[in-house]
Amino acid sequence: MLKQILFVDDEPILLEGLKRSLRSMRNHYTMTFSASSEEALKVLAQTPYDVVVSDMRMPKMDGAQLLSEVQCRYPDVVRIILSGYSDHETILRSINATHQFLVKPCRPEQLKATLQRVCGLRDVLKNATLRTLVTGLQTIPSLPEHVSAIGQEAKSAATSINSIEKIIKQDMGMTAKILQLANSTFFGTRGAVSTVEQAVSFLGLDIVQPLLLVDHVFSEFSPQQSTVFQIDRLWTESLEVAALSQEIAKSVGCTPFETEQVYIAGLLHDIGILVLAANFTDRYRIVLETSANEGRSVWELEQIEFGATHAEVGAYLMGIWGMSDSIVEAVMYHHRPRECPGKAFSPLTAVHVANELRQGHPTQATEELLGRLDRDYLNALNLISRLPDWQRLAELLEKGKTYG
Amino acid sequence: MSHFKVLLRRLLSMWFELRGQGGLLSQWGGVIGAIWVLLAVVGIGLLWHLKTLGETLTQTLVLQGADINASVMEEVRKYYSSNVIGPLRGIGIKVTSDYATKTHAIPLPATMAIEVGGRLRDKIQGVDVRLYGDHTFLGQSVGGRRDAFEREALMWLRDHPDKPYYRFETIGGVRQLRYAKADVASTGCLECHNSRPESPTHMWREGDVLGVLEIVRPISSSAMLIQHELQTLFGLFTGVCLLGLGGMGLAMHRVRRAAVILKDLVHMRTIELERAKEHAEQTAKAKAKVLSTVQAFFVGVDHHGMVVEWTPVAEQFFRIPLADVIGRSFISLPIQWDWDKVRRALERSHMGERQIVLDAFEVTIEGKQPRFLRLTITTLVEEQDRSITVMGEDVTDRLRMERDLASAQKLEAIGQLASGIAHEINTPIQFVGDNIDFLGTSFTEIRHMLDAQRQILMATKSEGCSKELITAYESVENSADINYLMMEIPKALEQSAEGINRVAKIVLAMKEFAHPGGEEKTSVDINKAITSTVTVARNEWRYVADITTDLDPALPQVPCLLGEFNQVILNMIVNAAHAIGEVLGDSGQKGLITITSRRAEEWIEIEISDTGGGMSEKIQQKIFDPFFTTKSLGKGTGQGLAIARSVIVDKHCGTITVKSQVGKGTSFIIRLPLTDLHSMSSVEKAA
Repeated sequence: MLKQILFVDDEPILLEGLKRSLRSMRNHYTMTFSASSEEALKVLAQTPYDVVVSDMRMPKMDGAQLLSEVQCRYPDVVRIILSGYSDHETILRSINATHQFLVKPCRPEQLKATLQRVCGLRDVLKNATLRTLVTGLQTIPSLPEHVSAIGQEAKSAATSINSIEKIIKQDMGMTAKILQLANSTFFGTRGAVSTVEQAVSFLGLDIVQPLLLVDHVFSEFSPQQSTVFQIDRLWTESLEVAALSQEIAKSVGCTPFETEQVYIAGLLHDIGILVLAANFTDRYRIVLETSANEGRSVWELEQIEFGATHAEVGAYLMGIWGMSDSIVEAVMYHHRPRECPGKAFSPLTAVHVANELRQGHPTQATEELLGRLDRDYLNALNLISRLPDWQRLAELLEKGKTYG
Repeated sequence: MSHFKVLLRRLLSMWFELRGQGGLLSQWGGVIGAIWVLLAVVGIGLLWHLKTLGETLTQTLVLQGADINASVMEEVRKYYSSNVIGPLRGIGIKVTSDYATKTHAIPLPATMAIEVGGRLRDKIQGVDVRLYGDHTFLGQSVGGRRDAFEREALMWLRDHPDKPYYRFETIGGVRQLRYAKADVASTGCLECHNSRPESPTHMWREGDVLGVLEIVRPISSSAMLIQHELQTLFGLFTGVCLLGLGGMGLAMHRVRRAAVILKDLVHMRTIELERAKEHAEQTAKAKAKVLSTVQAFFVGVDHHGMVVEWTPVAEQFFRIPLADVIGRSFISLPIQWDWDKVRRALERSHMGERQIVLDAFEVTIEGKQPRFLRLTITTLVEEQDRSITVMGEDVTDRLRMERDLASAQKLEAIGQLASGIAHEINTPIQFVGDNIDFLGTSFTEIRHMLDAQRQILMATKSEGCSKELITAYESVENSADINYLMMEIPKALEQSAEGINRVAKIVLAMKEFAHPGGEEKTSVDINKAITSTVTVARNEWRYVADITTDLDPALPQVPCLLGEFNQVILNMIVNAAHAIGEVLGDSGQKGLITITSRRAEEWIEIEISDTGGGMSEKIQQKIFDPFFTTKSLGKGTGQGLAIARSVIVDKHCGTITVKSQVGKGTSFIIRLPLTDLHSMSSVEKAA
C-alpha cells in the first residue's frame, strides 16, 4: 500500500510546484495538497495519512496549531514543518507537536530523502498501536532530578552553555530532544548534528534557554513509574554503555567528533525501553521479570508482548525525530548488528560491543562473551582481535566506577 | 591704709580671675587693668591730697590772718604817728613811753603797738604781738633781741623789708605761726627818731628797718575746724570710693558672669562654627570629588584672552599641563580643532551673547581617535572685565550610544524584516526550484520519447518501422505521461517566471528600502518610497491586514533622507499591523491599513491609518518618548516612534502627529516641508 502524504500551504503556486517536483514519487506515495489548515483537517478526517508536511505561517490557523491538532486527533501521523519563516518564538511554540523542521527553500532531493526515510521507518514499526503511541509522543521522560537541575539552569541568569550541556548529556530524553531541534533545518543546519555539544553550541544560549522553559519540553518519570520499574538503573547502564562506547571509539582512532557521536549512540541505544516502560509500565515489568526468571532475552520477549523490540521503537522514534542515520542504526541494530547494511566501524559497532561487555562480568571468559557478541559481524569488520583490548577498557571503567 | 591693701588685693585677685576667663577677657584685660590701676592711683593721690590740703589750708588761713593783723597794726601805728602825734606835738603834748605818769602826754607809736599787743595777748589765747629792734627807743621796756627766730627775722627783713618772714613752730605742744614784718622808717618817724635826744641814734634814713613787728598766732583752733571738715569730707570721699569700687566689683562680677556665659556661648558657637566648617569642608570635598568624576573641563580666559584657569580634566584631556597654558593666549593653544568656529563663537560671545554651545565639536588629540566635545562658552561680565569660561564635556560616548541606539533600532527593524523577507523570497524560490526540478525530469522523459521517435524515424527511413519499436515508444510515452507534461510544462514555466518576478520585486524594494542613506538629503519620490516599504514589509502585515494606498500622483519630490524616511514608514506600518493583530487575535479576520499622500500648500502630508484598537489620551502623550512601549517584552525596544519623531522633526523640520480613538483605530500624520528648512536654519545658526 502506498504511503499517504499530505502537503499544506497557503500558497497555491507553491503546492503546484511541489506536486510537479514530487511527481516522480507518484509510484511510492499518494500525495494530497491542501491550501489551508481547515481543508487539511477535512482531508485528514477522510483518509488515514502517514505524513503531514505543513507550512508554518498561514492565515487563521498556522502550522503549529495545525500540527498540534493533528497530534491530538491523529497521533500516528508523522508531522513535519516546511517553512521559510524562522521566527524562534513560533518554532518554540510548535516544538512539542513537530517531529522535524524543514526550511524553505528545501531542495527537492532533501525533501524526497526525508519523506523516504520517514516512510521507511513506518515499516520498521508495523504494530499500529505501538506506532501510534510512539508517533504521538511529545517527549521521552527524564529523571526528575535532571529536569529540576535543567529548570534551575534555564532560569539562572548566570547559566552557561557548558553547564546546560553537562546536564543534558546525562539524560537520554533531553539529549534526544536537543538533537531533534538542532537537526531541524530551521536553524540552518547543514548536515546532521549528532553531539550534544554541537547541538547546544549551535543553537546557542538564546534558543536553548527559552527552549528549556517551554512547557512539557521535558517530562518526568512519575514516582509510580519509578517504583514499579527501576528506572535509575537504566540511566546508570546507558551512561556506562555510552562511556565504554566512547572508549572503544577512541581505541580505534576515531576523531573527537566521531567519539562524541558514539557517546550519543551509546546513551540513546536503549531509549526504546524508556518509551515502553513509561507507557506500558506493568506489561514491561512482566517482560523484565520473565526475562530474569526464564533466562530469555528481553528483546525476544518484547517482540512477543508488544510486536516490536525496544530497539525498533527507539529507532523509529529517533528516525522520525530526524536523528542522524548512524544513531538510528546503532539504536535499531545494537542487538543484531549483522542485519545492518553498513559494513564498517560505526557507532553501531562500539555500542554493540560496549553493551554486551557491560552486561556480562568484564572478567568472564572470552568464549562466553563471544557467545553473545555478533561474531560474524565483528569478523566481517575484522575487529575480533580487538576484543581483549576492549575487555580491558571495560575493566578499567568498572574499576574507575568502584574506586572513583 | 589697711583697707587700701585689702581693696587692692581684691582688685588684683579679681583681675587675675578675669584674666583667666578666656580669650576675650585676656584681650580686654590690659585695658581694664590699666583703668583699675589708674583709678587706684588717683584714689590714693586724692586721699593724700585731702590729707595735706588740711594743713595747707590751715596754714594759709593763719598766715592771712597774721598778715591782716600785722597790716592793721602797721596802718594804725602809721596813722597814729602822722595824724595824732604830729598835731598834738604841735600844741605841746608830749609823746613818751611813760605817758601814764606824765600829764599832757600821749604814748609813742611803738609803745601803743606794744600795749595793744599786750591787750590782744590777754584777750585771745595764744596770740601775741611783739615789737622789737636793735635799739630801744625812749626807754621802752619791750625790745631787744630774744631768740633765734627774732634774730633771723631781723636779719632777713633788713634785706627784704617789703616781704614778711614767717615760720610754723611747735612751742609747748602748741603749733603756732610766727609772723614777722619789717617796721620801715617813714618821714614822720624820722622827725622824732633823728631829732629826739633820747633816740639811740640819729642816723636813720627813710626806708631803714626800725624794728620788727611779730605776730604769733596758734593754728590749733582753725586747724581743728578744718580738720573736722576735712575728716567728714574724707569719710564721704572714702564712702564714695568704696561704693564706686564696690559697684565696680559688682560690675566686674557681672562681667565675670557674663564672661562665663559669653565663654560658654563662644565655646558653643566655636563648636558650631567648627562643625559648620567641617561640614563646609566635607561638602567642598564631596563637590570636588563629584567634580573630579565629572568628565568636564573648564578653561578660564580673562579679558585679555589669556588662559587663567585650566582644570586637571583639561590637562588630562588635551595632554597639556597647566604650566604650559597659564598666561598664554587661549587662541594660540596647540589644540587641533576647528579654530575658525571657536573664534567665531568667541566673537559672538564678545558681541554679548551670554552662552554659546558647540555640540559634537570634533577635536583630535595626538595619536588618538578623534573625540567629540560639547563646548559651552559662557561670558561673565564683572564691572569692566569680560571673562570667558569654556566648559567642555567629552560626548563621544554619548554620541556613539545615540548612534548605536538608532542603528540598533534599524537593525531590529531590518532583522524583523529579514525573516519576513526571507519568507517572501523563500516561497517563490521554493516553487521555482520545484518547477525547475520538474522541468528537468520532464526534459529527461521528453528526451526519452524523442530518442524512441528518432529510432522509429530512422527505421522507417531504412527497412521500415517494426512493431516492437512502436510498442517501446508507447511505453516511454505512457511512463512520461506526455499529456500531463504538455499541460504542466507551460504552467511550470509561467509560474517560475512569476516566482522570479516576485523575488526581483522584493529584492528591488529591499534595495530601495535599505538605501544607504547618506548624510545629505536627496530629492525623493515619496510615493515610490512608500510603495517599496509596503512591499518589503508585506510579511509584517499580510496575515493581519490589507493595505490600500491612495497616493497623489502629482506629488512633487521632496528633499529627504531616504533611508531614514523608509524606516519611519516601516515603523508606522509595523505598528499599524501590530495594533490590528492585537484586536483580531486568532479570529482569522483581517483589518485595513490605509496610506495616503497629498500636497498641502508648502507641505506634503502622509497619513497612515489602521483599524486597530486605538490609544487612550494618556498613551498618546507618551508614544514619542524613547523606550516607551505597550508591546510585550521582546516585541519592541520602544524606540520606533521616538526615532520617527527624531527623523521627521529634528532632521526634516517636519511634524508628526497622532489621532486616535479607542476602539476605532489610529492615524499618524507626517508632514514634510517641500523645501529643506533644516539646511536653511542651520545656515542661519552658523551665521
